[in-house]
Amino acid sequence: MSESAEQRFARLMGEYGTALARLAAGYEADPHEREDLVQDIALAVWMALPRFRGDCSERTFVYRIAHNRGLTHRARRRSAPEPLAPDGRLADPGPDPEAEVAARLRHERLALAVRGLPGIHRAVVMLTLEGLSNREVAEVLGTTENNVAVRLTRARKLLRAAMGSLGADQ
Amino acid sequence: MTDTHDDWHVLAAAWRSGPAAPPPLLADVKRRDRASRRRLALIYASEVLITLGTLGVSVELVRYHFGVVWALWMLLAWTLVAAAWIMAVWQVRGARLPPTGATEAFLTAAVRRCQRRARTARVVLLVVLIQLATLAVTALARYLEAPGLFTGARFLAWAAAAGGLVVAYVGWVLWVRRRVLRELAQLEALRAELDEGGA
Repeated sequence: MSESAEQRFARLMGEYGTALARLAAGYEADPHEREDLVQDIALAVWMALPRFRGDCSERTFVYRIAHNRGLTHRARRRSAPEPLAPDGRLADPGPDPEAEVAARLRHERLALAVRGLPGIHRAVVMLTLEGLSNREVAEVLGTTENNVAVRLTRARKLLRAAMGSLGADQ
Repeated sequence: MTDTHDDWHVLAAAWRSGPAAPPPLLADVKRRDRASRRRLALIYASEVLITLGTLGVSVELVRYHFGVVWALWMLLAWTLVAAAWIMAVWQVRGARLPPTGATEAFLTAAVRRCQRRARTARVVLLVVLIQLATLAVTALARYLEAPGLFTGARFLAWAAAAGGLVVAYVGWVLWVRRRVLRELAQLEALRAELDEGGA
């Protein structure tokens, strides 16, 4: 028996919900705006589902929507300096266990560095970090595998430099 | 090479260790969908109401005053309304954003959409200018007929309210246009970055 649209949506969100939150973190620093962006992406997925005919994988379908939404969200925002916590450190992660706190800080630091990358490089890095192959990234962006590979090399350098400068700040 | 590879694996692990987020709920998404449809329906309804209101008021004015100037004024109002609708329909063609399309196609559509919104803002400013010029000519004609109408507290209050409305509307259009142009610049930069071909 085939899946209903509701069931399919729930399954996709179950599979990719956390990944969508991470991708949103790569586009938006503010937690409330980020939550709003995730909801926007979910709405776009819901509205696009009836037209999805399987011409690409579900993963590509979801990531395409997420990135397209992320890019327009970012383009609409007034470009402002990345908001760090007032004392110049990353926001308080809350009362988590020590290892979790450390992991969360690492993630926050990485997300901050990713947000500082130029738009398409940012997309390439985030998709690769999510575990997509160069071919899949090329499919999401509508470009060639070779192009993705070149961008990824450049983006890695930029990311390493950004991570280095963030590490020096702390 | 191995260092870089290992380094990348560490980064990937750090990326995926981000805080777990509850998946978006279908009920919330459906609520958002309904709200967005309601907003669109309200916008369309208000556009239709403004059109009908403009046409109705212009007909009533011509019936009440019955003069060549008023007939011309009505003709101009109808022409502007027709032009606005033709432009609105023309603008919508091919400007739907394909959210499921590859980023390249999406950006091309987004840039086209932004360009059209910027053009709309420019046309709106032009229409306001034409309307103000028409109003000035009409007011002058009325002044020559009956200068007494253009004095007194009632006239001043009316002129101040109308002037304030025009200034507020023009300010809003300019603000929207500035935002659209900023978005357009960002989208064009993204498209240029994608078009670079990795060179």
